[in-house]
Order: sequence, then C-alpha cells, then structure tokens
Amino acid sequence: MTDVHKAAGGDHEAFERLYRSHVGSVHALARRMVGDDVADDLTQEVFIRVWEKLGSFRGDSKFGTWLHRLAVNHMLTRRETLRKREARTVTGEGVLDRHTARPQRSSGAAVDLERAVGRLPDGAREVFVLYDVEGYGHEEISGFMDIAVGTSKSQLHRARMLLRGYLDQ
Amino acid sequence: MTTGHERWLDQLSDYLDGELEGSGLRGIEAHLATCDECRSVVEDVRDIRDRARRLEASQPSRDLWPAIASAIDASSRQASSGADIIPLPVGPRSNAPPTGLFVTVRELAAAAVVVISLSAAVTWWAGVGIVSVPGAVPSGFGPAQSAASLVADVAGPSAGVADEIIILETALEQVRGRLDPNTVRILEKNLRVIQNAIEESDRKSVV
Repeated sequence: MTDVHKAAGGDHEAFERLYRSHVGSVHALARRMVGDDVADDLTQEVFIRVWEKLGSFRGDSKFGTWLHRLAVNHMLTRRETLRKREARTVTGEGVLDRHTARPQRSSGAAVDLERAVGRLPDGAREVFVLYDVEGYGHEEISGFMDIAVGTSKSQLHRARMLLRGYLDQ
Repeated sequence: MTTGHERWLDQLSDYLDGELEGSGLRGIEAHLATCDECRSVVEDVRDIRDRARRLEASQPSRDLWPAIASAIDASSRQASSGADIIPLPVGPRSNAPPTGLFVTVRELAAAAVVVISLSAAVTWWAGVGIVSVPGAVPSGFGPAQSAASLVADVAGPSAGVADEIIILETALEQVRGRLDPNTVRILEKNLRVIQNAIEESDRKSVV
C-alpha cells in the first residue's frame, strides 16, 4: 500500500512522509506566486487542505501533480486576502521589491532571476511562474486564474520582457 | 529599438513557445533572419525561460510538520466526536514541539473561569495583606499591579506559562464571536494581569 493510500486511511506517519517529499516544491511555489513573508503559512495551509481532500484523490494523475494543482488553486484564492494585509505601493512596472528571494544552494544567475521575478507585477508574475517555472500550459493557467488564454499569453510575454529589462540592469 | 519591431516583438513569446503556425510563423522567421536586434531579444528570452525551468525548490524557515500534525489531529478528533473543537496553534513562529492541545468551547470557558478566579483571588489576597511580598511594589500602584507582582514572586521565571497564555489568547480570538461580550472583556483583562505578572517575573529573574 502506498503512502497516499495509507494517509487517506488516516495514517499520520505516511502523511508526514508525503509532506517531507513535497514541501520544497510547494514552498517554492508559494514564495514565487505570493511572497516570501507568507510562504511558510501558505505552505502549512496547503498541506492541511491536502489532508482534508485526500479522500478525493482518485489516482487519475500522479499524487504530486494533484497536490500541486490543489496548491496553485489555494494560493490564487488566498492571495487577495494576503495582499490586503500588506501595505504596498504598486506603480505598474515600477513595483517595489516585495519578494525577498531566499535562494538556497543557488547560483548567482538563479538568485538574480529569483529577485527579478519578485519584482514583476502580480498577474505577470503568476503567469510566468505557472508557465515557465512550473510548466503549466496557457489553457490550464486560464482555468486556474479565470482569465482568457490570450490574456495568459500576453501576461507571459510582458513578464519575459520585463525580466529581460531587470536582468540587464 | 524602433517601433517597427514592436509588431514582431509582440509575437516573440508565441514564436519561442511554438504557438505560431503557417503565415504567422513564416513571417517572423523571415524577419528574424534579417534583424539582429530581434534575434538578440529572442535569445535573451530563451535564456530566461531556460533558467526559469531550472529554478530549485526551497524549504520553509521552520519545520511546519508540528503545526500541521496538530491541525489534522484536531480535525480527526472533531470528525470522530462531533464536538466543536478548536485546534490551538503551537505559538507564533515557534519551533516548540506540538502541545497536542486542543479544547472544546466548554473547556475554554472552564479555563477562563480558572483564570478569572486565580486573578481575583490573588488580587484579594494582596489587598487584604494575607500574603506579604518581599520588595513589594511601592504604594500608589493599583490592585492589578500588586497582584501582578505577587504572582511574579510566587511563579518565578515562566517561559512555559507565557506560551500557554499566548495559546489561550489565540483561542479566545477564535471563539470571541461565540462568547458573551462581557465575558470576553473579563477574560482579556485577566489574561493581561497574568501576562504582566509573567513579564515582571522574567525581569526579576534577569536581575
């Protein structure tokens, strides 16, 4: 019996093993999608939600894929609430650096890119993270974010061009 | 870069991602064959995309498992008992092991009664002079401060108690809407008395 089946049956030790296996990818997603300050809390919320929803996992996809989608949906739902808590000034492309990258064992180039991603405006950053970092397609992103496919494509392009400018500085 | 390039620049991401077909694809390929600037942009964006795919996972600043375990324990208990269970947090950004502490609304109310009774008793004892406190707070301080000093002298250093107070304060926030407003006021007041005592105790332990 796999850890997923055991956890679905209430086995906490099995769920802890699942947590340890996937916490890194979920935390990175939270950090890049919403912000460094709330990444820990969001990650915790995601795994509590995963526990609650385990009974609905049918095995149609890999567990990691299912968990990741749940994480994306949760973060997109929570981001508005979290943003209202923070005092920020957003001025389009002049957005203040609100995402403090905490790269671990990363090269200088990765650090630069992480910091640059943190400077992107919200919509562009979310699409860039989902498409270029996480590998979702525009149809999937459109479903997650409730935007048109064309909007997803234009936000991605905008993000890439902004990043090019930030990395050139 | 001239505005003449904008028409092609807007299509570069779609081109890179294989989204263009037919005449659209042929058009941009023909342009890229003759335009160094646009080719440079394509290479830069391709590099960004490739680097993004290689970004690594990260770890939380603390082990989240204890808090997760507490929450799923509480939800399991709620599911089996049907009681209105309140899962209590480990504490703000704490690395302490889970207390396994969770209470029903009735248990929280009972704890509140204990807090109120303790605070009231200490205040009364100090007021009637039943307890003599060495180095007592100078006169002119109200009963709350006298009670705080007394508790501090008796309780001593109190890190563990402070954590429990934080947990009770957090729980109170969660059930505030379900308690009588007067009860909430009394609870808050008495938690402050005990918190003041803890702080005074900690100050005295440092000296």
